[in-house]
Amino acid sequence: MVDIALIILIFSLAVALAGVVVWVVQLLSKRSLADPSPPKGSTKLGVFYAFTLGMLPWKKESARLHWLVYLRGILFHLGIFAGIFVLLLSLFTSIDYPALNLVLSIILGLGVISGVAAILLRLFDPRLRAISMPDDYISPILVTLFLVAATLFVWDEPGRTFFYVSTSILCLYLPWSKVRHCVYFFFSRAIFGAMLGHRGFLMKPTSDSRRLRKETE
Amino acid sequence: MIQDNSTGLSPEILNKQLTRETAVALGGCVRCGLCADSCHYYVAKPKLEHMPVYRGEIVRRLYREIPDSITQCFRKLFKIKTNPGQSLDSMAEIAFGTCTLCRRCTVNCPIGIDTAALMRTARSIATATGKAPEILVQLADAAITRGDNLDMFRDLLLEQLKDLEQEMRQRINDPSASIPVDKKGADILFVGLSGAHTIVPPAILFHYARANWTLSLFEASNYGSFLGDVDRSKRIAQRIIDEAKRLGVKEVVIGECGHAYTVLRWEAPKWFQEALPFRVRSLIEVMAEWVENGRLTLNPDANPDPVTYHDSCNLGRNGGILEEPRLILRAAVKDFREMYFNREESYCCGGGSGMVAVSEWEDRRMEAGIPKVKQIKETGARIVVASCDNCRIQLGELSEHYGLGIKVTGLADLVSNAAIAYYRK
Repeated sequence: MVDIALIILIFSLAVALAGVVVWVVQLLSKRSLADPSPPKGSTKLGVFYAFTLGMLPWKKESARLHWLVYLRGILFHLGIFAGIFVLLLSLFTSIDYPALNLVLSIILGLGVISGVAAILLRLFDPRLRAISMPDDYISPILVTLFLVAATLFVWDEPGRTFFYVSTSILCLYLPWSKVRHCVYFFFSRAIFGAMLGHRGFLMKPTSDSRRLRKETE
Repeated sequence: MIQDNSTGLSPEILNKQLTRETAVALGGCVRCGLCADSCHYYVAKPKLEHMPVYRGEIVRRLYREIPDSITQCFRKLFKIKTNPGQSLDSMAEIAFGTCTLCRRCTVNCPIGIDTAALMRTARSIATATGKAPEILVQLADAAITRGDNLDMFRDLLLEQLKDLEQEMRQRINDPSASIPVDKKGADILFVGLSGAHTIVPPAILFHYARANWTLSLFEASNYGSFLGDVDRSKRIAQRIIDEAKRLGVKEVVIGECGHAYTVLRWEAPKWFQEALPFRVRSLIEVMAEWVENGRLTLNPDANPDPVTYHDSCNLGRNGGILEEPRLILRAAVKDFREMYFNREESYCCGGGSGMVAVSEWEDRRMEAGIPKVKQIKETGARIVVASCDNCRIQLGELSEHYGLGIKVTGLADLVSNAAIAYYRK
């Protein structure tokens, strides 16, 4: 049974990977105008900022105002990373370290709670419901299912089949769903950081922004 | 050609406009709704139509119809419940009338989705299909006509400049002061806006700084950019580029105008796909340099009233000019007070991206300006400095509408006061 599940998993992973590759190639084939304007800041520092300091919750008003929603998102994604870690581990070795199991279970469990919270929030917040489409419910349900399966598998080796099947369903759905934001995220933050870094909005060489800000405050 | 029956739009129009950056903004949104509170429209009046994610959906809806999109496979899954873009008219209405392209939502989005870029695309589609506000089209076309028939306007302009020159001489008590035009070999080509207030104060500063400058025959405004119309925008920008090349200047300095700076400094090189053969700076950057290196000395006693600064979205978030105005104000006024939020988190005043030109949207402009009104009130300032003409008009009208009792002015006005107080004999 596990062997069949493993075959399904490998097939699904291949489909997900192929789907993402096709889609990324499509995206990269679209024209992107070069920016010949002389820079005021640094594109590289802008990109660095966008992925690091710019992600800190206190740097965004949206996170400061809705810190619980932001925290939910962070816990959900930490759970996903833990789930991927468990999946990779399961392919090569058995997970039999109680301390590690406990840590993984806590992270995965918080991820499950966050996933359920996300679904409920979307169901009961009229604003979010109004801007939602079926994919906005299906995607978190499948990801949460993956996290539940990973949590069970950590403590229960026979749960491997359920874990692999739920992962397979998620993988098959991924290339056509909003789960793709896991790839879009990197493109979007890079574009955001590069453009505004180039224009000197996010980060400038120390001789400019920091010194000026220090002097004027 | 596939028609999107729900919107009556052709996805192929969008497909032609699609860049990688726009495609990322279209596909990357997870509809978390965190962007809502970052929009001044939503803060002023919290409703679904004022959420940036909702606006973005009008373009995304069209995007999902593009045949080569992989999402086509699961097309039915991606049907949104609400119908933001019932027609081309409502798409134009949302893109032009409920978004000022301020990018505050982009800064606050965890993914960095550029909804302003999507709204610019929507504006572009609306303009291409004749649905843009007529006044914006007229203003853009008027600028193009002026460029094509310069000889007709030259004498009139020179006549008007004589009066401005006279005003300048009286203010600084120096009969030798001049406003040069068409001066070959000048270092700086200064491009102002319509109105003496955008020419006389900078001219005074150029005089005191002993700059080798000349005034442009054109205005810096580029209404083509508000329309999302690259062809019109290029033609309007080309007039200034040609003039700068003809005169052989080293630098083009844009007067206090948010979008005009962003257009020539950041957008035009992309449109033309080449770096411009001269430096482009805002008057603010030039003033900051001169104040910092001592080329211009100011006496802040000339401006004793409490002053606050409004960050224009095009100069700040879109242009990277955040610290320079503050450096200048510290030297030019006695009492400078920051608004909260400021700099990258500053609220749009509600008048940007062509809104002030559309008279029938005055009510929504006044409503969208509520967050800015609150910010201004909290500072207790008597003078609000805005380095953008559209912002100045909007803030002036907000003051009148909400009884703020403030004076709205440009940065160069205060700086010229302070410079006159120091230099005038």
